Amino acid sequence: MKPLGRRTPTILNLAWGELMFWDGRADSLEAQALGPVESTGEMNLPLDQMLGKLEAMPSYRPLFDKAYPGEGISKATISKSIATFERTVVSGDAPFDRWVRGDEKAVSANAKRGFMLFNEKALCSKCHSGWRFTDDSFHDIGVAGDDIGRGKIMPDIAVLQYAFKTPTLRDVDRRAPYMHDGSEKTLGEVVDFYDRGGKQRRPAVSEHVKPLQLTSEEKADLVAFLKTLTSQDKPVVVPVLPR
Amino acid sequence: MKFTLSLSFVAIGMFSSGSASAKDHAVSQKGKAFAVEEITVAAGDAVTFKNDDETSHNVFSSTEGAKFNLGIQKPGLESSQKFATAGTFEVRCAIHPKMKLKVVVK
Repeated sequence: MKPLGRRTPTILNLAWGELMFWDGRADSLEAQALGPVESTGEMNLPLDQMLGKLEAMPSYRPLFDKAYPGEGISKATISKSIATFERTVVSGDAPFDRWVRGDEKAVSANAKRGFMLFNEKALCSKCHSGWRFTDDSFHDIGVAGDDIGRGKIMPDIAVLQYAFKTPTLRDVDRRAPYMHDGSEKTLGEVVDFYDRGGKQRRPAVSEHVKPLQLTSEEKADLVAFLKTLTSQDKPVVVPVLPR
Repeated sequence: MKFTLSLSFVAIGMFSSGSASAKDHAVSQKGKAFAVEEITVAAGDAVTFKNDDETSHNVFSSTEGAKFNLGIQKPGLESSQKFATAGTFEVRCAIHPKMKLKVVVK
């Protein structure tokens, strides 16, 4: 299968999200759910064929009838089912959370300094704010390339050209590579990227993306902090699907 | 509750415009939010959006009958938009999609 032009965005904590996909072209999880199914570059499954496949599996029908009485198996109920599952994908308790609750030993001194940098000198919290560490905003952060992101959806708004959705930083250490195109391989590379003020200057580049003059110690502290956002979650039990 | 009420009182002002009857309603943007979730104005009135935040905003509406785009608005700046026809219009920030304001024009 040919690699996609953009990295797969995480579904973590999207129950609280606003606008889906890197470019925000879907306004809900329900609206997003079937896009990858029919996308020729992904599952390439026409939705009518998808319906036929599910209807051909007798044990699916009672499950849909129970979840959506009177609605049957349809594109709408399949979308709702997927979206409802996605809303259960929530990050767990991380060392950062234990530190916030008062456990001074939950994170290292480096990570504590990193959190201060995150909120001040490094400007990260301008967009990566709140408990999910995202405000769901769209910005051109200066990633090199010709993908105009949300600009294709909203061509008349100058600040949205080359803009992409701000991702959550919960469990970010598990999601390399980074940026919408996977162009930064490690968290250290991401910090270097922002320290340089991005890789490409354009009129739309966010006012918060500018050279930071971080020292090597400060960069290491930021990475140490980011790693404290990784929670120890119970493994997901793979369900036995109807046949 | 007292804090919320007093903040709203400060954030939503109303002052005279050039017209004898049309009014100008002020809505502040702060903390990546509009000061109110909904505002009711008369047809012909204007709403002035002031950026009292620490980050830039871009107020716009895609609702039929009141499509507009105020463009990038840096902290401290304000822009005004006239609402000529009756209806209910959703105003948002293009950068921060959680910022939503319903403008009811009567």
